[in-house]
Amino acid sequence: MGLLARVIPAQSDSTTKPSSVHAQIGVMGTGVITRAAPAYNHRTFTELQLIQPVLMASLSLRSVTFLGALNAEGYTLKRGELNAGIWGEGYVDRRHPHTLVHEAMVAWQSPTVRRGAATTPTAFSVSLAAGRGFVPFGSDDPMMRPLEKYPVNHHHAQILERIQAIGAARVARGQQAVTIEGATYNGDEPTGPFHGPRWSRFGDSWSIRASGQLVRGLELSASEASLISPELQQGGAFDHRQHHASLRIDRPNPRGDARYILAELARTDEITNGKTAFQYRSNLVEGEYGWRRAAAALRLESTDRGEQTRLADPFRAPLGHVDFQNLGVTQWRVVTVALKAPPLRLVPRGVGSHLAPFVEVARAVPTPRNRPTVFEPADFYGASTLWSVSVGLRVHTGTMRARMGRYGVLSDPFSGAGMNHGMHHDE
Amino acid sequence: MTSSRGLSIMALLCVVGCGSDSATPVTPIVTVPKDTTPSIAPVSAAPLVVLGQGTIAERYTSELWVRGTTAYTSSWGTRGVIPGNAVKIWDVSGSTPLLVDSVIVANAGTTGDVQVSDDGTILAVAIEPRPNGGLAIYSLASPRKPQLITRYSSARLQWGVHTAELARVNGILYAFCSIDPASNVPAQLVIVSLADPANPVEVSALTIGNPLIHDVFVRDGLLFAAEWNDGVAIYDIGAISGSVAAPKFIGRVKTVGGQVHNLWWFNDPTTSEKRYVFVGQEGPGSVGSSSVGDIHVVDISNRAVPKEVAVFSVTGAGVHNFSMDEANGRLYAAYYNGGVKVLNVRGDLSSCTADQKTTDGRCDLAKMGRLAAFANTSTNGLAYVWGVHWQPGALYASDMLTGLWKFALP
Repeated sequence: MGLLARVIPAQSDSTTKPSSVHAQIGVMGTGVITRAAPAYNHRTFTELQLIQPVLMASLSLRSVTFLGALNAEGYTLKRGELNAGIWGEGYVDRRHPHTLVHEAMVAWQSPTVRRGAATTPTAFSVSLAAGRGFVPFGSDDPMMRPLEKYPVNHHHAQILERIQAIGAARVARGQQAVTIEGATYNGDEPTGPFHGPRWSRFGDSWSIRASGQLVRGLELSASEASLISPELQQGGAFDHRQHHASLRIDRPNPRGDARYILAELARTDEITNGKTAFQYRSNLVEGEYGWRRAAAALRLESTDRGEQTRLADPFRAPLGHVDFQNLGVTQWRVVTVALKAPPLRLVPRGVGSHLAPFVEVARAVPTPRNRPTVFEPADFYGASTLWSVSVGLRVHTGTMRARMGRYGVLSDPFSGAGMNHGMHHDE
Repeated sequence: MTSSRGLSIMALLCVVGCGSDSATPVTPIVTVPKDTTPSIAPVSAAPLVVLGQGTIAERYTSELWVRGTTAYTSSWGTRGVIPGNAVKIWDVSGSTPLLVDSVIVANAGTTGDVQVSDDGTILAVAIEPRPNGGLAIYSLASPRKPQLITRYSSARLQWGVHTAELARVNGILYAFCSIDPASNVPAQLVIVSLADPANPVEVSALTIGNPLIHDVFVRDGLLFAAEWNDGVAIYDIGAISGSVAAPKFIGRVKTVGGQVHNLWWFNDPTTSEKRYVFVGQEGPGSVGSSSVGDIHVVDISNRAVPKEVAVFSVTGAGVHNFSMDEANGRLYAAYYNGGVKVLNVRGDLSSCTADQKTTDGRCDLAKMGRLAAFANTSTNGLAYVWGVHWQPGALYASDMLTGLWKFALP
């Protein structure tokens, strides 16, 4: 049960009863100092930034649930967060700020129908969801995962902030469950933190994801997505065909210490005139191990990045490839390690506000996948190995959902199951 | 976990992503036309003799223009950390191009197009990227010491001028600027009057191209527009009733595969024939290493209904910019990693034997023996030819990786 479930009493003690009304709210933010050496052209950058300032809310009324998240990075992170290797939405080697309306989804879930033996019945349910949020594709939002820096494969493994409609069906028996989700949405990615989608493009793209829980906390997932011209809102740029598969284990011990592993494979094809022009792959493994409320996390990643010409700001690139060319493909091999101290309670016996210090070190080695190439990472950055050291404090109060992008039959925003990495529950 | 369950998990994970080793081709995935003749190293065509080379190592060289004994090359993108903000000036009076000076264009990341006006008085340089896009106009009163007359930008041009073609319509010099699209910013062709080079004036702006307008070719009051996947469009901008301020659409053809990048309307001075437009197709590639795209031949006998009649393909390389020796009926084509190709394009290109046709009925210029010569700008296999410029006595080629090359004519 979330923290504010106690502060803001629910009108019913069970979310499964038709008459229940349930609300939760949480706020978080992270202050981080990052030293990137080099960040660009032999130059070391050290920056203090406020990242992921997020207000998260959930409201459940009978069978309808609203999930919302406001993200203020548009105000605090205009130049982007130093994050070697990452790209997307016109940013390169800096993570782009997310949109103010990061998530606003309404989901309706059918009553669960049970069949079979009374002791282990098979349960069926379906759901419909609509709004702006995470497309059912790939893995969880890195914001809710154990490491502060985003993986390079963010745009290979997540599709976010789209206007969408999702249909889902779930069959469960005991601890095992299988879920199928299908969605249609607008393919164009956000052009800025305060920009909306081109509404006329709703429905031009689709995704499907199948996921199965074999035992408690062990989940397999496979998904596919087709995006029309994500990088030019008016259309005409490369289309994307994306594939993803993952294994996720999230079984915190009885004290709430993390026992978490994610292994994922992703592939993105850039397509023009019906033919694949470029193909990018990603392999990633990450894990977290907690001990007495402290934790250590590790991520190993190998991800391809298509290089584009830069704008006057070397951390920006034009959206959509100029002339449908790239400058080559860089393989980013990144090792990231984080250590997190036990969170400090800000207000003794208060509402559960916590301060969680962490330190994170990343070593990135970018190399061209093919030569000759006009983008030689060692020439551009001034070194063949890029280091990043981050020290930060994450503050949160209230209840943050353990996972994002899970709506309808996959949504259980009021469950304490699973870890929200970096946020600690009081139970 | 049992071993069988583990295998199942791995099998599922291998639905995607497996095999991501160095042997897996990552980029680019080039679709080779089934019915074209490999001709990257043709046996029957003769190589052009290299006269000399002027090396540029610190920047990527892009377009070139030659007038008299002076050549100008622009620069592209970022090499290492050095931006493509330079225009190089060359003495090409001898066999080997000699670098004599450079002009640095402030706040430019790419100077992708450079051209001298037909009267030799001004040099125009296209400037990218946004927000510093624009047009730099230089006086060539002293051809090897260009002096900046003005740097022009506007709400439209600031998005980036990808190409800028100088052409005269009814006696007035204009710059035809192809503007880069961006998300929610459509591609445009902006026509700028240079009647007074110190005070450029935007005359009209056409929102054309899908998703971009890349280049134009202007002659005799007709404007041929390379509208990418919308193909080749023909506009009257002064030939009959159209004008630069109010272009009139005449006709369009969507060439096979789209991706229309550049054009040349062949006016044969020997036969007075003005039948063919050569179209460069630029498919996706990795700059500096790979390319794809054909030369398409469009018959404009009926300008309202142009028709593609022939094609020329090179396996493993794609075409880029053109130049022509019209008097001798030779088309010079930069072919990126394929060097330079020289085609004999005089005569009927729309008639060929069944064996010389592609499966879709177009004539294949390679099978017709139209490849007359080729040139390599490399001794080590690394070439990436951006542009070519013919003038009586020599052919010049700009190689992105190595600089300016001079060849003897075939």
